[in-house]
Amino acid sequence: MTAENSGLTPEQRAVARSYQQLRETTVNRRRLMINAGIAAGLIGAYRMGPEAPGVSAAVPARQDAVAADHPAILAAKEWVGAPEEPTEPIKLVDWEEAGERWELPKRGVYPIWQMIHPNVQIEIQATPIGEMFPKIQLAMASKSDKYDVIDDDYAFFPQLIAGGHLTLLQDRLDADEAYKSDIYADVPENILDLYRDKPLKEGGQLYGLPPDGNCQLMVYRTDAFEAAGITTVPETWPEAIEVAKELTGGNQYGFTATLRRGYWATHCFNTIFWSHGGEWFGNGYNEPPTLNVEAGVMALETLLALMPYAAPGTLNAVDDEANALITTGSAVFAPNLWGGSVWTTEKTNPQFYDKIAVDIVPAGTTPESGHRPIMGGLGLFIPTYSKNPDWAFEWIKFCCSKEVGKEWVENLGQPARLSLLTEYESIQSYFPGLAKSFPTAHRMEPIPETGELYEVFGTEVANVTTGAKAPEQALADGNAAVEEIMRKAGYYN
Amino acid sequence: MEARKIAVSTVPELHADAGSTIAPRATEGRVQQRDWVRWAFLLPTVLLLFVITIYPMLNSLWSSLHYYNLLAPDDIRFVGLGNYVDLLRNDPTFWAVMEITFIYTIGVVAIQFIVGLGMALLLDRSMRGISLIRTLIIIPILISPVVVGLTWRYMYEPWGVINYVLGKFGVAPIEWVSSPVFALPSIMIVDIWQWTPFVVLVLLAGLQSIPREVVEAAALDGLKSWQYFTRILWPLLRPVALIVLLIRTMDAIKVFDTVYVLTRGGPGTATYVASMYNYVLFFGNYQVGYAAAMSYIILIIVNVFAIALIFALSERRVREEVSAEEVDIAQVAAADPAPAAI
Repeated sequence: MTAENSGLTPEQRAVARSYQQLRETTVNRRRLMINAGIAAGLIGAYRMGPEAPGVSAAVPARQDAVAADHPAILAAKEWVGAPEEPTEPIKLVDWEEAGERWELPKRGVYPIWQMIHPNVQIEIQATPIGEMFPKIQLAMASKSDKYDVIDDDYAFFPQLIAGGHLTLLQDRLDADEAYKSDIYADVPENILDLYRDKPLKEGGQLYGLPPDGNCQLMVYRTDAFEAAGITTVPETWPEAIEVAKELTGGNQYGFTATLRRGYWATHCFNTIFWSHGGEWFGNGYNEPPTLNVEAGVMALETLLALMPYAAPGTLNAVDDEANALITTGSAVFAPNLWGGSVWTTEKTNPQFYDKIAVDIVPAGTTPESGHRPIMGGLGLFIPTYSKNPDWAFEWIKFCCSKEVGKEWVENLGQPARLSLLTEYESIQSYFPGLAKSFPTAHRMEPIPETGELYEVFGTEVANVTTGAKAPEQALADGNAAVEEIMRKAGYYN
Repeated sequence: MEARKIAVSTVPELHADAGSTIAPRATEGRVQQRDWVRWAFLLPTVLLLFVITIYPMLNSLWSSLHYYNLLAPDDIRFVGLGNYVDLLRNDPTFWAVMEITFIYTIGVVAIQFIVGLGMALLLDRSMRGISLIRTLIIIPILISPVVVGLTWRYMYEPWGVINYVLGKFGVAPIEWVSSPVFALPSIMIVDIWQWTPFVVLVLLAGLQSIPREVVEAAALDGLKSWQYFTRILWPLLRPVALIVLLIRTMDAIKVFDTVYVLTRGGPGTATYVASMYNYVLFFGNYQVGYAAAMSYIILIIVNVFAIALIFALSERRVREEVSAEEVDIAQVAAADPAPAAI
């Protein structure tokens, strides 16, 4: 009822008018809520507007914490090819995966960089690794010039190179022969090949450099081995099965792995498959896959033979869950597992960190066999769209140099350089296992379809481990599915 | 006994608002001005709707008609309905996940409805503390599904509280979420625990909207419980039941968060539901076109389910079965003169 309603008497209209005036002037809950909403909207608009405070400014370095004669500072003076120091501050953006191995080591070495190049600020932006890879693809597809350095999994390098999204680093590296010789000698060729457009042996050139390296490792509890009377580390997969059996009893299990359906299960399968001499595309990518072979059957039968000794949860485990089975003591042996500092650091493995030993994964038993753990690792690249490629390369050189190795490792980095892995065993006791494994580690297939292939085949591996299919059937179905994906992608008709 | 005729209507009758005053029609110029103003106020909403809903849908439809791998964005090829055909004819995983999804959907919706209806019938009475019980019962639906999933995940651990309690009865620890046999039922239990209260709420509202005269008349005429339920209550409750079944079925077909948190579709493919596979197709395989096609297939399936449910439980059929004119309760009671247990 309002004062404008013509149906009211003059007295009623007067009352309505007075109520209307009261509503408009008196402080009441409704008016307070409306005003609060308007204020919140205005504040939000200001925060998001052009005058909004800057986001994640570059971290100012604690320059007093770095000695003037730090090895990296001295080495940088000898490096060739660095651009002239800017007279005004410039800022580069380095996009990293959040947390240890990637973001934290960079933040750890940044103060040293600031001593060397005070006018070149690095803004390190971190994103959780689970979201990172599709975001990188989208950023590169949209030709974003927001980033100067990006840290990406080696598996994505081939398609990024093919798409023209990466700046060639080879020529810049060639300009500094001493640095190049040093890194070539210290990082295994198979790891550097991950960041080339093709292997060095075929004339490949570098589009990225790796401050980080990784592969699957064998991990075991030394006290459990002692208690079971096991004095030697298993060298082959049949020996690993026997060890798993010996270690299982009570609440203790002799096996765990990342067997979740999809690429996790495929990673586990691959290490065993490759160690028996198998190859996914033994005849090249333009020929049908070669999974349905004896090595494939042996790999799946090995997994099946280990399943009776698997800790609860192994069937659906990813790396975090399998590692939790190790750190809680449920599982005492994993012949091929992704991990690292999580096993050997007191913070993450308070009960058993000093009882963990790490070695290279078992080998197969065929004439073509070897120790062939699946490789991991991320490398730094410069997007084609970067506005500061020269300084971006200097930052990459700095992060990949051995002179920052101590700070790199102390900040939870996992280097690709063999010298650093050997030198800093006292900081991370699993490093020698990595150093032993890198030279024979095996990469994933360098084609864009790898993720899809591993996901599809991993479903078949999971069908075997859950007892839904026999190994021969799963291999045949998996091989057929892989062949179909490659056919759709245009590799053959 | 004189047969009591009682009018039963499933639809509230609309009454003409005889008392309202209608403003006299304005002149043409003022009408146009009002139309313009109305559109001006609607425009931001329409634009927002277009940007965040319609355009993305059209874009994903376009993607679904192309071979589009995010890792090879320069190799996008038009394939027409090829992605749809591949999914329906050449992808065994698709049918496997649909089977698991259907089992899950039918299982949770059926149990939620039966248990929810039973609880609603029990709560539809006056007694001390009933309001408190009704309030407490809705707590599960107030919790985020992710939080629910994470909590149940810990409860399901071999050393979790469920196995602890079972252990007191001499039951060996069960691998709830890591066993292919128990994984799917474990997720169904979580969904039933969380969403049965929603069913209770909606059905209770429906029960409480039934005219009291109908209930009293049925009681006076000595209707048995089962007769009362099948001939009186269920026909009146059917529209509300349709709503709750529709909502729960659509939610169950689309389930993702609980599965993601508890099992990620494992162990093996035991809990690999359609939405999980769709997620993997894009975020794991980067197959944009294929994933978009699967999204549309799920959309079609949900719509088919909805139409089937609506057809099965529509008001038109209710009116045919229960005449809007009258129901002869006394005749029903006379067929079996045993006293009503209401």
